[in-house]
Amino acid sequence: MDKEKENFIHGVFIDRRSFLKMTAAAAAALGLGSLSWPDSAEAAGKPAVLWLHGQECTGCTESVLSALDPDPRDVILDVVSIRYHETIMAASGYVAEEALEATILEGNYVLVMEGSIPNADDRYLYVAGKPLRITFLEAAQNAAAIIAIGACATYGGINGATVTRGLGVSDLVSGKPIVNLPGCPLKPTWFYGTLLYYLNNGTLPPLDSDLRPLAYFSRKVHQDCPRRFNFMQKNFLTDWNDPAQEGYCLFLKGCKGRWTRSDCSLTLWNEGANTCIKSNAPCAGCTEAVFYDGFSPLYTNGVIKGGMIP
Amino acid sequence: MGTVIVDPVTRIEGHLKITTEVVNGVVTDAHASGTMARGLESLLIGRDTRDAPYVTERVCGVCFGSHGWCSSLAVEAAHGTTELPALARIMRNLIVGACFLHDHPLHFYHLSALDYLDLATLVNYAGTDTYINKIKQLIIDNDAAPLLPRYEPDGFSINDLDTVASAVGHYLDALVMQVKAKRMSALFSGKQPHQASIVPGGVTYLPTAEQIAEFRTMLVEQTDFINNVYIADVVALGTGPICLWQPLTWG
Repeated sequence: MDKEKENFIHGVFIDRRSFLKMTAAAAAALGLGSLSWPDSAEAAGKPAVLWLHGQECTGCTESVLSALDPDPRDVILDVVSIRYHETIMAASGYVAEEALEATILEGNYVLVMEGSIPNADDRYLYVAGKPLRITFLEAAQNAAAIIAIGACATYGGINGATVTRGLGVSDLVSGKPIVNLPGCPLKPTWFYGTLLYYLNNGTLPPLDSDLRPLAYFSRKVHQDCPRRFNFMQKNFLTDWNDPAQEGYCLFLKGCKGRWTRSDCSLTLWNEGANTCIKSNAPCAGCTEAVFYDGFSPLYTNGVIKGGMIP
Repeated sequence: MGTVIVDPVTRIEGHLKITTEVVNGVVTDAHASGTMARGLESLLIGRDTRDAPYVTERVCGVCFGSHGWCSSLAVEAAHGTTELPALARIMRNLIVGACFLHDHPLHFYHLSALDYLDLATLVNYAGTDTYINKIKQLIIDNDAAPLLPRYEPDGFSINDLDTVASAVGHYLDALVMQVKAKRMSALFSGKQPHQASIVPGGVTYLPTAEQIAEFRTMLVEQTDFINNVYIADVVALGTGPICLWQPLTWG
């Protein structure tokens, strides 16, 4: 297979260098010419965004704010009107609640959901004196589209495995345009690319059966793995201390790349700085619906749950 | 005045509610409640110990690094490991140290400073900073979310134009610096937030000379910001609320 074919994503050929241009590449993979915010949105004011936090660690907010393209200052001031976001908004208490209620009444906003909704008992998460499940369902009712970010908000993630039995957005809401951007955390390119696509086209990008954009989740980490050669040669790393095993396949260390769809191997993380496998750590499979429970224990592939056989 | 409840308390990681009893303008009792539970502790019972740092890391996505690191130390202690290889210790210190460079200024500027600044003061801004002028225009257009609305400014709020403009300018600079600090940490740890390379027993990764050089260059930029901007602001703004009974001169 030649190099070009390896970078075949959702019907578009993209060379490796443009992948590294993070958001510009994210836009390109979705068929957008460049990083541009639609004129219509500008004329009608900045698009409103409600950002709710369920059972979460704020890591996805942090990850969205870990790109330099687009500049985080532009994101907060220029790009969207973030009406409610518990980690960055200046308002607290009733002022925050009023902003939330006013935006829900206004309608036609993009709802970004970070973190899961507890299913075992509403008391696991109360905000402003009521269960977050209720607030979330009210916000979802009037939303134009819902972007679920991170493993928790998409499929439950780690919280789905705890006593709280956290649920993702698509388990609670139907009949709304929903896009899942899983990962623990998600990658900023996925968020900006998807948001751009939606604001430009008024629809969500083409999705797979797990509601993930095909542009980012059509290939497995394993298919583009820089260690694939060693996998084929059956060179498996067993001891991190052995210099002779440098670059060996991490399968025996629990790598879940064979079952995990994501573009991590192609675009790396933190603006091309590194990625889990490149840093000699096994892929944890954080973009898959069965994560975490289905992939635990993470550091061995001796026992594989969920009926998957290597 | 009776009972005053602030729920949600924003600009923290997680969900918090503060209940205070106020008599004649004086707080006589106060309660803090964490209003979210995930059950991460009980999740780990019966699991492979090597999963512990991975799950514990995800306690917080703002001060990531610290939790995974400490959990690794705990697992090592439980397995009777008393000393790590020197290289692993140094690598961990660099990974977690870069996280500190990220989350200490972030806590100060992005999570705390907005409580002490009266942003509406910026409508009188006459300087040339692009971003502050942008904020000024947004305030005039009544479209400054998420920076406004907020609680009504009170005696604790700083409304001296120069101080507010300087602090907001640094708030925006710090927004870029925290991106770079995350990249620094990721060079050695795979990705940030939520690093991959710290595992019980050590660190999986030996960085390339190129990555070490980049880390070093970025460290110089961070140190410059910390020494010349952050520390000065901590000294100036950190004493803010005291001004009610001990007036300070600003600017």
